[in-house]
Amino acid sequence: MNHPFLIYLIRRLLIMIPTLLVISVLVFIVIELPPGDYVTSYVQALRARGYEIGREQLEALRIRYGLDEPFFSRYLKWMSGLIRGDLGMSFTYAEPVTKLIGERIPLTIMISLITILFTWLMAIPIGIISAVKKYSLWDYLLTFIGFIGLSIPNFFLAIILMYLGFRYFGVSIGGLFSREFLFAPWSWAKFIDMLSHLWVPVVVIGTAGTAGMIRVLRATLLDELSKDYVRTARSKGLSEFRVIVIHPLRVAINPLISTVGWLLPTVISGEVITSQVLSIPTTGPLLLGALLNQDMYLAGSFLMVLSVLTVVGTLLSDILLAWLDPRITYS
Amino acid sequence: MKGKWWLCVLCLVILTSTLIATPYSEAPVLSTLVARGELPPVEQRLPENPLVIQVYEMIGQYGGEIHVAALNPRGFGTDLHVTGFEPPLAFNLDATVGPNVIERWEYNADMTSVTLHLRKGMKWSDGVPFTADDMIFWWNDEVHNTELVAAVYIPEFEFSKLVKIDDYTVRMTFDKPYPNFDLTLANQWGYLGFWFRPAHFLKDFHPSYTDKAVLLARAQAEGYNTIRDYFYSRAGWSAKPIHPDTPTLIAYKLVEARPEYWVWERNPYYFKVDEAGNQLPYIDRIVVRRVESNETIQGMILSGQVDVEVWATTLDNYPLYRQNETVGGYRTLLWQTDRGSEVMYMLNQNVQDLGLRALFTDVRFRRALSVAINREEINDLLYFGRANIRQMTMLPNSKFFLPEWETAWAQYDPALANRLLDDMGLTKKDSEGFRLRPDGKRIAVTIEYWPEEPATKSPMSELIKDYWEAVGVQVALRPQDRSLNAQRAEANEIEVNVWHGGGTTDAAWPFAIGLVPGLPHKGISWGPEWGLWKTSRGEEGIEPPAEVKKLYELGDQFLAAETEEEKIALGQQIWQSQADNVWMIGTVGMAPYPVIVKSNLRNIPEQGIFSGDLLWLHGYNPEQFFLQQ
Repeated sequence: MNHPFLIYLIRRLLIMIPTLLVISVLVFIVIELPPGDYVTSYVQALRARGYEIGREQLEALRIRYGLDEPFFSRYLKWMSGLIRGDLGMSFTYAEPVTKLIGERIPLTIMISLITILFTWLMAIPIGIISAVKKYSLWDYLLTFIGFIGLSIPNFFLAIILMYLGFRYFGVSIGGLFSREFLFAPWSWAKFIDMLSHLWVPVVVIGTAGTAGMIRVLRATLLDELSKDYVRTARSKGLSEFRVIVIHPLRVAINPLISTVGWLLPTVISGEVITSQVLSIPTTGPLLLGALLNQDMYLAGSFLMVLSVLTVVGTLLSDILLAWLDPRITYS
Repeated sequence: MKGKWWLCVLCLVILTSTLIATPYSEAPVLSTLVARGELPPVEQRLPENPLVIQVYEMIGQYGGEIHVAALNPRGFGTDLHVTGFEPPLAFNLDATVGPNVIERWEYNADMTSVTLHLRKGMKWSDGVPFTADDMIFWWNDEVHNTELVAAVYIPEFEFSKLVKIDDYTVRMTFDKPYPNFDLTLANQWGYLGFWFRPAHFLKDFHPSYTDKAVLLARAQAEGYNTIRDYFYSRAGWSAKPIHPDTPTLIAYKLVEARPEYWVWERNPYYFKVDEAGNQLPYIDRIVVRRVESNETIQGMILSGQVDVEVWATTLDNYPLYRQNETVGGYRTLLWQTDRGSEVMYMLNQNVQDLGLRALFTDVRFRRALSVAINREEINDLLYFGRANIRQMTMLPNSKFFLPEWETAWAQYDPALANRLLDDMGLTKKDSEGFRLRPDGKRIAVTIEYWPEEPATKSPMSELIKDYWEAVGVQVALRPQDRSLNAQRAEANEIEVNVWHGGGTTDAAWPFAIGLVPGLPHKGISWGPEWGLWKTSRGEEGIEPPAEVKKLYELGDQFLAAETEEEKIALGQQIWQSQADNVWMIGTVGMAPYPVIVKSNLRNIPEQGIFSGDLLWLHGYNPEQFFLQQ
């Protein structure tokens, strides 16, 4: 490994520390911002269900959850826990945050990876076609479809697809399996049952990301296609496939690479709205619920995990980019 | 010949005696286990005197599995109601108190102690006997253990003591006469307060019985920071068991807890039988599917993915439920809520704006706003005309109820409303037709509410705005997040409070008189500062007028009243005050409430009451629900 790269890496790693510290303060402030705390929201929920809680019990609850301590000491407690890898306890679930997130991670990653694969498989060929066949019928048609995916809100598309699935294909609503397959051992039929539920989130989340990617790829590819080296490659008699895929595509894909690191938090965050609507037990709805209930350690620690992944992902992207594109220097 | 005859008699005697010795039967799945020697026979599993449950329609059939959905399987949801929970005593449907885990109880003469008798031979779900020690463990090692519980949770505990008399008897003594203790054991406190803990199991997780260093190491290995969190991960924070290892007394035991679903199977040691001696529950298994939103539950109902839903159903979805009954294979039952008023409006008597306060504290103003409301229209528009038009008061089947309270100032009479407001001297109006206060400002009130529980708060408040503006009182609506709402109420910043008018059954009201509407209390109430004055014994808040002080006195006397006649007389005086003063403006009450059950699920009434005060389904004994083959 060469010298400037090593210095670059160390400098980047060092910068991560203050960045994350600042993020942690921001996260904590944001979580503290809404009026009241977990106890107010819990008590209000209890009251609505017909439970009444007196003043003394309220105080007791605050002490039980450590909410009677001042802001700063709560932050320090949380932060020192984070450093030791302890994300704290969830108020709502009375379970360690690590456990709650952990049990939802496998499914979250699976759906995210399938979706990313779907997005790329859709976006890259479409991007190439609409760049090469600029202003053709294909360009317009595919771009149009992409924009529809971008402009329809995810929750709406999810509801429509869920309804169509239920109405016309008899796909049950809620979760990834029909009740008859919930406990069945893995079989072809169970796999098909899962796919019949899985396509909705994949299409919903995928279409939303596809359009943006198509546009970026199309724009950069168009830039590259008019450059001299492409003309040179063509004049050398290379096949049209090699002319596009080997040379300009490698350059055009840079913007996608530079955002590949951001996939890291995306993979873990589990598309909140879509999962919420389709009731898929990914981490997304967990985060949403935590924010609504002011379950501050669950929400805060989870946001911190996502922030760390974003920062690490950005670094990975930069390294990857530098490795793929020799024009980039470490200064 | 003679010898053979004797043999026959002997056979008959033996046969009859075996029949008498085993009057109980059990589910086929359990018989198989007994035959294999993996489980003791049913008569050894049941207590000497099991609780006999009256079936609702017929003796049920054993077996089957039902699916329900829950947002958080550790929390509240339909799952809690079908897996059941067992408070020490249980409410009958008429709000009288009956036995449950505790077989009998008796007060001493001056009502300063109550003796509780447990069921001899009753066992935990792992077969270990359930005794007085399990109650004493809870009292000494949990309620009064400072490491586990930061503060005593149930108000009564501050003046009570619990002692063991023998293995099946305990006695609770109070510093003062406490005639309402049986209600405590049957209502939410009885349900929230545990009372019984499997001591034999939990000692292994308790700092008084197991080395702390060992405990802490085990806790940390599972990701818990404190011994306390570790203890409660096994003991559970609510009435619901949350760990498969923990023995329980309820009808089902948790066998699997995964992020996507929880599975419950019948507790072979459950202490209840039907009239024919069949050990309950009838249904073998309950599968709880974790969902992420109540909307998903609606979808699951329609597509037949859940077999019982009582928690997430809403009346506005009723037509949708009916439409899809055949596809989903379920029945839609229309029950009733236990609310004296679905939504009620409380003019804050301690409102900070003194101009408004002068109006709000004038009874004519409250009466005017009450008769300005077109309750029939509310009923037609929001409840398909099937709720009951009534002033906020107790339910008709209450022993405190007087029929005239229901109609007091509940008629629709805008002319009367205008007359009352004119009588107050509020005759001047501005260019937009709104009345002016004596200080020349327009009469404008803000209604603040958390637009859920019930969701009809929003559309109803829109209607209320129209009705009140029609008599010259301008209304602004401010729906807000529940925490903000609670905080603003706590800080006495709300002009008109909105809440559901619950706590109006005999099960809840006599017990929590100071907390449910009846007397003003701190928080979301019609006199939060008066409530503060009362709870702080006059140190904080605002001193109430004589009339309200009188109410507080009546309340204190009521809670100490020993005879039924005394109680009723005092309770009726408190509610008479509401009828005369309209402290809380009611709208419509006892609204229809849809309940979804699978087509062949039996022993559940077509018309029931969905009542938090009566612990929801508990009074309908979900353990005797069954799937008809």
